[in-house]
Amino acid sequence: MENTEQHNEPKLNIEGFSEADLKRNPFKTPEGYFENLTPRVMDSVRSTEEKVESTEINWWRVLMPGIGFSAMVFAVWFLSAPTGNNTLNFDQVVASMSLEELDQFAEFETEDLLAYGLVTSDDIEIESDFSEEELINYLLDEEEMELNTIYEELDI
Amino acid sequence: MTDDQDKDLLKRFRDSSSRNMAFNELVNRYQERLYWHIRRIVIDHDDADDVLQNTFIKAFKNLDKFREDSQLFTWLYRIATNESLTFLKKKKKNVFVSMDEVSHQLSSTLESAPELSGDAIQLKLQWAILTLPTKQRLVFNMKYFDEMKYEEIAQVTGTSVGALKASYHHAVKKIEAYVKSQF
Repeated sequence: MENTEQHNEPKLNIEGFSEADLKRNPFKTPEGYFENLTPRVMDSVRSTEEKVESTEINWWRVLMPGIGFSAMVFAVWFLSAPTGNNTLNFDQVVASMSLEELDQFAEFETEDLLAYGLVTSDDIEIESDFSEEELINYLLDEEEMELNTIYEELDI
Repeated sequence: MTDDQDKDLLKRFRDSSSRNMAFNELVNRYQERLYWHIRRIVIDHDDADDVLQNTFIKAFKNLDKFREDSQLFTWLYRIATNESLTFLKKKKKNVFVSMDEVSHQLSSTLESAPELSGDAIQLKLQWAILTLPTKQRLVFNMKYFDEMKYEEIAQVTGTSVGALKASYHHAVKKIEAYVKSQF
C-alpha cells in the first residue's frame, strides 16, 4: 500500500540537489529550547487549570454577598410590609406556623376556622367520590324533599 | 508511537491519579514533531512557541473527549494546524487580506529571521512553499517533511485522499517551477 503510494506520488526534483539536501531544516531554535519545553508546557497547563478554578471561586465570592443581601431585604420586606387590607391569607398563616402550631391547627373544625376568618370557603377543598352531576342531582333531590315537606305541612 | 502505547497513555490520562504524569509523557513525546509542524506554518520561533503552548493547553482540556476514531498524533496535528491558522488570521492587520496574502507577511519574517540558517537552496525552498495557497502548503509540508501518509493527512485536514493527492501534485510542480526561475 505504502509502496504503491510512493510509486504514484510525484517526486520533488531540483537539479543538482538530493532529497537529503532539500529536506535539511533551515530553521533554528534557541539553545536548549526542547530540553526546557516539557516543564514550560506543563506550567502553562497548570496555570490555565488554576485560572479556571479561581474564576469559579471568584464567581461565588461575587455572588454570595449579593444573594445574602437580597435574601435579607426580602425577609425584612416580607415581615414588615403592610398588606392591602391588613389581613393575612391562609397560605401566609400556614407558612409562618411551627410544626406544633400546625398540629393544633389541624385539630380545629373547619367551621371554627371560617368563623375566625382564617380561611375562606375557597381555601377549603372538598374531596368527594361523587361526580359534579351526582352532587347536583342530590342537591335537587334535597330541595325537592324540602319542598315536599313544606307542601305537606301546608297541606297543598 | 504505536496505537497500543497511545491507548495506554490515554487510559492513564483518564485516571485522575496519573493524569498529569501521562500528559507530561504526551508532551515529551510529541512536542518536537508538533513544534516543527507549527514552525513551518508560522515561520517565527516565538510565534511557534506560543502556538505550541496553546495547542497543548487545548489538547489537555479536550483529551477526555478524544474518541480514538483517529490516531492520537493526527488529532494533535489537527489542533496544532487549527491553532496555527487561527494565529495567522489574528495576526493579519487588515481584515480584508486573505489567508494566502498572509504568506507575503511570512516571507518578510522568513527574510528577517535571525535564527534561520542553511544553504541557499533550503531558503529558496521555503520561499517557494510560501508562494503556495494555504492548503497546498499544509499538504506539502506534512507529506514532504513529516512524511505522513495521505490517510493521516486526511484525518488532520478533513479532506479526501484524492483531493490531497491533487494538492500535493500541484504543490510539487509549482515549487519546481519557482526554484527553477530563481537560478
